[in-house]
Amino acid sequence: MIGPGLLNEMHPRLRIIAVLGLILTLVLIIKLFIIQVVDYPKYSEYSANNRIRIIRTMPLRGNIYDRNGRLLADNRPSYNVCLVEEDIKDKDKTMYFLEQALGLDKDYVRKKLKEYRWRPYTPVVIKRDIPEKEVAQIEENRLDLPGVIVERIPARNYVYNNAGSSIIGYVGRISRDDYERNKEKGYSADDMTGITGLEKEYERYLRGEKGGMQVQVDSRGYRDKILKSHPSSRGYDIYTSIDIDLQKDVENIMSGVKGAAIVLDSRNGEVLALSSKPDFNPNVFSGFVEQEEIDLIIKSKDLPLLNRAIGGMYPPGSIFKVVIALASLDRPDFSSNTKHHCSGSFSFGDRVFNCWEKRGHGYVNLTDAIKYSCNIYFYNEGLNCGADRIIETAENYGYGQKTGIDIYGEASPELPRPEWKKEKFGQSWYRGDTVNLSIGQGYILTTPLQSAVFLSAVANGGKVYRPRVALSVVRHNTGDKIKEFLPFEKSALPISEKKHKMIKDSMWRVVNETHGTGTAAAVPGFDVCGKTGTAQAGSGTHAWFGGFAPRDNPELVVVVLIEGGESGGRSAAPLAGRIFKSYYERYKKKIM
Amino acid sequence: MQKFHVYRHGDFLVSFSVFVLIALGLLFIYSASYHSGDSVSVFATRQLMWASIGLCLCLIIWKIDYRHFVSSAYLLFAVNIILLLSVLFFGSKTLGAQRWLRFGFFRLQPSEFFKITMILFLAKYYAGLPSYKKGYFYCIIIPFLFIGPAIVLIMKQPDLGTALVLIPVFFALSYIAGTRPVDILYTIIAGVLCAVPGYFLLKPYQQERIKVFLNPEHDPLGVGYQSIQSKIAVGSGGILGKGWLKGTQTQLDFLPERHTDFIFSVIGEEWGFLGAILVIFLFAVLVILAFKIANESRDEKGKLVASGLGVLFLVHLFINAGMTIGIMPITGLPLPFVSYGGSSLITMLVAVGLLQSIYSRRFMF
Repeated sequence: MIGPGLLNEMHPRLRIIAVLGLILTLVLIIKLFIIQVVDYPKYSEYSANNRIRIIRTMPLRGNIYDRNGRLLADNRPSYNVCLVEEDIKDKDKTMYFLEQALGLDKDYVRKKLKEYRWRPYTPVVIKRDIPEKEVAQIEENRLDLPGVIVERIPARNYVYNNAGSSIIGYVGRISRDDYERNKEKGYSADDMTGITGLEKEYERYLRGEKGGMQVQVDSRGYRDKILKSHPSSRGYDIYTSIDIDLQKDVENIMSGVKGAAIVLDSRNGEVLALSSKPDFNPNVFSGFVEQEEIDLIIKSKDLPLLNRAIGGMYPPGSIFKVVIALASLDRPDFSSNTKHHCSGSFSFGDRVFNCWEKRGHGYVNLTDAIKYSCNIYFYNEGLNCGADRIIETAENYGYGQKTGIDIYGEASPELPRPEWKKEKFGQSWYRGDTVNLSIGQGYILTTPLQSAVFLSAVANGGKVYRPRVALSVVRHNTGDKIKEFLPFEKSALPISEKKHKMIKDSMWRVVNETHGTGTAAAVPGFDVCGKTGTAQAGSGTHAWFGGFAPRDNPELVVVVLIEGGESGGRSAAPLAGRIFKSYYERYKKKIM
Repeated sequence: MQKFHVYRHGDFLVSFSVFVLIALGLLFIYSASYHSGDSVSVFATRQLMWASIGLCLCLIIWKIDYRHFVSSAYLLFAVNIILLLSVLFFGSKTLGAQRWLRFGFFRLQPSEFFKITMILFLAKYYAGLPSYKKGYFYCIIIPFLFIGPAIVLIMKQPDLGTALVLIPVFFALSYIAGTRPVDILYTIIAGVLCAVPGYFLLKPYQQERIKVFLNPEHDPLGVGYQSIQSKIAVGSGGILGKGWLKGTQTQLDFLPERHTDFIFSVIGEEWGFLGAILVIFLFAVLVILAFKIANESRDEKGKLVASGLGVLFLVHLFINAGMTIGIMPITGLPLPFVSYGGSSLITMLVAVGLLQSIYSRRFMF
């Protein structure tokens, strides 16, 4: 079978290949001999106390700036205490030290170590973000504490604490699901990652790339020799449309209430300020608090982590009357001079629908109806339009869909239609539902941001912009623009000059004429136009004010929502007025 | 023909070495997955299942005259190319590579099968080439026009290991089929010359990947770490090894991909130099026998297929074992018969079936 003669009998070319094969085999055997026999002592020692570790170096996360280049988020150094169980020589002594110096419970440390026992020689983090004093204490006792390591890593730092937290979001430890989905991209189970807001939306730009070192450690677990290293590269910076001064004003104006405020540039969809109250301090999450503490915030009754501006769903109330007005103006048979009589109530079928003004508004036309926010007028015109036309108009202006803002966590409640109601409740759509819809009540839900986008389209003559926060992504060291985000017009609705003027004038009267519902929002010299809303929700009310300024060539849209606010005119309009004023004083007064 | 007992005329030693290799594989797949938290013997059990399927296929192929496979080689080639294309478009991804086609409960890896398809294709092509057409054009250019795109498809997955195996097999077969050595030399030189400027056309991240491929040390945290841990595993095995289930590198999770691509390190650690030599010896026997079968084959087709399979085993062994001890770059390539993996095991058993089919028919005219 196999014998020495075998090669000789072979076809010459086969023989040459066979000999080549034997040479390769011999190479393998020689190399094996070198590694396993000659160098055995060396490798045996390596393996006996496997001293080669990989230490990851975390990248610096990209900074976030406001529209004037002011720093909103950067990094600060932080220190973690880690244990390498296999390197600990005197367990009792180490445990005692940890308890005395760091206040760590023995059982807690044991439990933590146990979790990682399947991965020997891996540093296990037992306390995060310790103060400098504790770092010094460990360093002083370093020689007596083999296996205890202090690791220095960057932590996120939010310069203005709570201000802007609903836009920027925060970073926190990666969730299990996120980790499973992204581990191929280099995430490890303990990594920090963007959880909400811009931090989540732009994670892939902000993150940067991990580096690391292959190091040999000494018997105390400290780095002896860096065998190889690969530097981390920092994430890209993001410049945003936020004006942090205005943002801080808005946060102040909104402090103490539960609700949301949005300030948009109606000419291009840029978000100047956005606030959701109650808010949170995003620094808490990057301070490496334990999960229980985070849970406390997450489970708080006031839902501080709910971004009410983009994710809260509320009936739009009377702000929706502007949609009815636009839908009516599009009807060929509609005349803006037609008056409806308001006696304070409206009988329809076997139900009575009231106006908020029990004494009634008498005869009102379209612009009066907007000024006084007369329900009866809009009941009539809503019925004249019909539910389909109302919903179609609302949809054209961006309701019922995501606005597409680049902040994570946007909601888009579905618009109620006859088919929707049938599917959801198994009931047909009654004309009474249309009556309710006409004043933004009943089944309809919207987010404050949707109304801001709608009012911005009303202000600019029909352009529905995608609201934007990020303006550009920039390489930190060189300042090269990696990406630029330009205004994006989702749709443009033709509103004739005449109709546009009529709507703007009506909304101007709301704010600037006596007996208008929104006079509290007036800013002398700035021609604020707006609409108030008081939406019934359950047993309480939510107060709205949405408006823009100035009337001629509008540039600014403000929407304020107060959860539990008593009325749009009294609760929301004054706050909106102060926001308009803040902008006016910052941007307009100087110029004029 | 009906009375002819084909199984009796096979080569016993081929079957024997393959059995021993598979048994070793099962033993060390068991050891490699022993501690890793998964239920104890999932991988070994599954490998046993793949082995049974593979053995059935092997016996079926053994029974069929290999000339049928060679004659339908072009069709097989076309089908395999379609499979490779579908991997590109609908394949499922694991660990960043897209190599598999999902069929219900199991996944198919068409690049594994292509190893045999290519050998059959080249055998048919070269065997049919008249002697006056032995020039550069017919011997290199024409077959490469077919093989080249397939290799590109496989590299795109990316499955550099398989691509790396196919190229030497192609040259070796071409040489055995009678291509002039200078022609092969020119081709290799031309290939290198094209590769150099081509490198600069690649995107930086692709260049990075090639740098790591050629030199694992370039990525000290990924491939470089695997490389050094594997060397420590093998080296610390010494002459006799640490004993089955007792390899510290293996059991403590230092070794990556233990039950698949790095199974040779596990054997080296737990059974030492002797264990590693045993594996190499079994492969050497297999390769030499494949060449013997080629030599005794009754026709050119059989000779080419058998020697191609021999080269395939040889290159696999050299690249796989070589990467665990640091003389070859690290690529995802299994050790035939031993590494865990259905597509690979089945492909290799099909190869054995073909060898036996050729050998059993050596006296027939």
